[in-house]
Amino acid sequence: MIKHQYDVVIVGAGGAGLRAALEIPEGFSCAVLSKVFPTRSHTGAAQGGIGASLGNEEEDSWEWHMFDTVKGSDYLGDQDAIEIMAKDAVRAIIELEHMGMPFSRTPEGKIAQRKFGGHTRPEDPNDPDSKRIAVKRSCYSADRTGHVMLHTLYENCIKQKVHFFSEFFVTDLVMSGKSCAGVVAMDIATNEIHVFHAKAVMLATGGYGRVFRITSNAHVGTGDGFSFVYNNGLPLQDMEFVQFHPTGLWKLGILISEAARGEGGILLNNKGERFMERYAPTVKDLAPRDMVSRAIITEIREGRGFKGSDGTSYVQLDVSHLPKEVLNDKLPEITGFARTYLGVEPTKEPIPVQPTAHYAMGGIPTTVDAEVTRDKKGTKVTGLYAAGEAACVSVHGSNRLGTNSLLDLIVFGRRGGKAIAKFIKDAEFPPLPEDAADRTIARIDTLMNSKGKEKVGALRTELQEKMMEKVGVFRNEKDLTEMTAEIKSLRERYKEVSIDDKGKIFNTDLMEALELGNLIDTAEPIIHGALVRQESRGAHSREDFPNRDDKKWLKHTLIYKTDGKPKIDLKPVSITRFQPKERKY
Amino acid sequence: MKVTLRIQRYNPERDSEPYYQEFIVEAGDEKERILDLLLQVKWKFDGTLTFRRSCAHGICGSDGMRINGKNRLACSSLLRDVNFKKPIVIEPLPSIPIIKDLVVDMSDFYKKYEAVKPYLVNNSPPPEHERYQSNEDAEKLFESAKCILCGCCTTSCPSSWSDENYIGPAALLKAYRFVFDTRDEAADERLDVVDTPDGAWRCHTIFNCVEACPKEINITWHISKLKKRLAEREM
Amino acid sequence: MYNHTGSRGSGAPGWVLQRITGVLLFVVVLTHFFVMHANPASGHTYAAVLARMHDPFWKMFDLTFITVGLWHGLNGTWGVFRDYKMKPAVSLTIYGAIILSGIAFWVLGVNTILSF
Repeated sequence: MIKHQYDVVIVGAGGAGLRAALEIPEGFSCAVLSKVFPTRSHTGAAQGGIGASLGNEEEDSWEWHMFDTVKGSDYLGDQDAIEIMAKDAVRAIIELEHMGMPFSRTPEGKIAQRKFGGHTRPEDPNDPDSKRIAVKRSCYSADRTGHVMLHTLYENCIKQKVHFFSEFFVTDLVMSGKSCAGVVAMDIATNEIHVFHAKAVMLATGGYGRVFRITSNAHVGTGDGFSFVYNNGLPLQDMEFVQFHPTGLWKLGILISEAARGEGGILLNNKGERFMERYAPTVKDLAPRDMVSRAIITEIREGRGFKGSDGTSYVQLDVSHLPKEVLNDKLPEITGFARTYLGVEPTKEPIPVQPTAHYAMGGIPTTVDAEVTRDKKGTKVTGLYAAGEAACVSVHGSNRLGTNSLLDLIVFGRRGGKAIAKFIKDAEFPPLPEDAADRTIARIDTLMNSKGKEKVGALRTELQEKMMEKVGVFRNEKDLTEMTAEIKSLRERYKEVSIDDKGKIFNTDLMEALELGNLIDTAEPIIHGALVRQESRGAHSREDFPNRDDKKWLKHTLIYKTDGKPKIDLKPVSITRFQPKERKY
Repeated sequence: MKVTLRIQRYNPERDSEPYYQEFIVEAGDEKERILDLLLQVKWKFDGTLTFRRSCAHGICGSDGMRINGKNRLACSSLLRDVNFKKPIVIEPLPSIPIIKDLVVDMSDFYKKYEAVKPYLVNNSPPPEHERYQSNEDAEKLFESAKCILCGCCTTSCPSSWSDENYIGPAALLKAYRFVFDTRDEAADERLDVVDTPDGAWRCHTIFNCVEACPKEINITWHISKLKKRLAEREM
Repeated sequence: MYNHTGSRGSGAPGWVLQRITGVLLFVVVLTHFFVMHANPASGHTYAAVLARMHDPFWKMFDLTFITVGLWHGLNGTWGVFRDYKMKPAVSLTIYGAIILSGIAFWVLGVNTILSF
């Protein structure tokens, strides 16, 4: 076992982790741990853009951005946090540009912006109550916005000489009483256990898309951070809210950005109808993601989908009527995906798409300064921070708008970094418990020596397929109850998992087995949250409770692991400017 | 349909040198990703098979490997892109040290990337708004900014094979990305780094990098622009 | 491991010269072939050639030809060799051989041209 001591340890080198690292001042030591080389992080897969009311293309204001985010969240987002994000967005984008991020530009040389789902402005700017129409708010770099943002942040980390531990797989938090004292990690190259003793730890570990069969998420999106927190007796918030992106490439789930519809693409059913006109008459195909995903599933259920060769159904995304320049200059990657993976020529024929598990609205509860909280009163966990998809501030409530995820990373990643910088100035290292690595070592020993019959691949596929089937776009009590029993049995069977690779060098077999444990840990609160929340709000749609119930459920759920059934607590939502209204587009 | 994968294996704990092992896998159709076939081997037949992967759609750059003699990403190569009538030969990226099976040691590659100062340098106080840049100037950078650092180009380059100190196409492409950014002020420092016999001048326009690049970047064109810039500076 | 060695001589002059000499050679070689082989009017007899060799214009032409041709060809040869991994001693020997042969051929050529 190797021990390290750093003032700050950041887990995860995607947008939030890298942005936070840039805030750690000189004179303090900071280590960034990542299970992949930083530029392989999943932030790079984001395509469409970053939302900010720059107003470069048409009039816009942060208040409109805030309103859209609140409404998009189905009023579950905390309005104090959303206000901070919408206000800070403009500064954050300008800062990225100054860091060197290459943006697409307007004819005047400003950052170009385009339309995106759920982002609107009043038709008459002087009358806030006038009809809302789509606004150009998404700042973009062709359809590679996340990729260039991730690279720009990493480049700036190189410039600031940030210390990286690449291909280090974090397995646990080290808790010292009520504070966080560091993390335990495994060096993938050697299987060696490292204990990082730290004053402050930030979890920027991303999402859990791989809990589901069809997902736009990378193979590394295994909910590691959620698992660390959950297993250490800390709560997770709003885990039932899983965003299904409406336009995943059929069969593969690869993301086809909303930018395709922002630029004018439309969705068609098997009758050739532009069906979104029926579901969202004003913004049509640019309705928020939860609505479009439900519309697609409804069309399919009512027999208006296309039957695919794999047994699943899909609808079509048509961009063939768009000018060639738009497809080549503004949507090159996604037209490339359609060509590469499905052999579809998007300039001539429509692209088959279906909803794909995309984003975790819920996560580790934090303050607006990324400080992790432990209860409904917001008591802070000393020394522990979380940001990005892993965290739940909550700015996305029950449904995230496109372009707000990248924004979340750079706004709250920075705020977390600043909060850490302030904290470490006076903080002492908490005592490092002797048994810090014991749980990890035991887990690894068990897996390495197990002769059980269960295999990682098969068990994971089973979990993913069942989650897709029972905890997908539409949910009901029967499915969720069955899934609760299912996850219990999967957890039991996980104890019987054995691996083939008993070696010490780059043992990805062991790593996948550990990740499967994290997936199961993450699935449990998703299922339980979905079962408890007896209403339909945003991305959580209960067939047996089709309406929103503000009286009972305008609350965040906090979920704690126990030996038996998880414990649920409710936490109030911050409502400052906008009172809940019916959500129609 | 059955497809045979002939995979180069090497586990330093056990093997004195690499060898080949064949696996017969089941493929749905010709549009199956090579990566999915490798995952099938790992999950169904042999959990010890080791390779890197993450996003599975060609944006993270983890799974660069040599497939039927060509450097490719396993996730953006489909069966129909290779000859699958015969066993598909899968090997690690050539000319760099193997850690295990298809996993190679990229540290030297990253060191070369860092050598060109891959970050924007602009020491003048920034304006309150963005630094303006014409769309034309911005688009000059886009192709080079597509690079995902997968290493397919540098490890396919004969000049890299013969001279391990050659900075390589990926790093040169990154140098271009910043040298030609109208917002950057450190072009000279960067040009100093590549203006050496082991820098841009080691590129002999062999075009292997262009052929290998999974993002279809015309790397040689970008290096030629750099050489022109170096020549102008020298004259 | 990559080891940046700093700026020890730009390759720019060589790269530019290779291109300039390439263009020059294109002109010179074409002219040479036209005059010596393709165009009977320029005279292919011993006397005609001898007369041209005495003409200062053609002297200059031939001096350019041999200088440019040798530099371009040998610089290119060295470029090809440098694509191979060599021990410093081998590399130095080949480099020396190229330089020496360059000088030798140039002296021989210039001597021949100027002897008319």
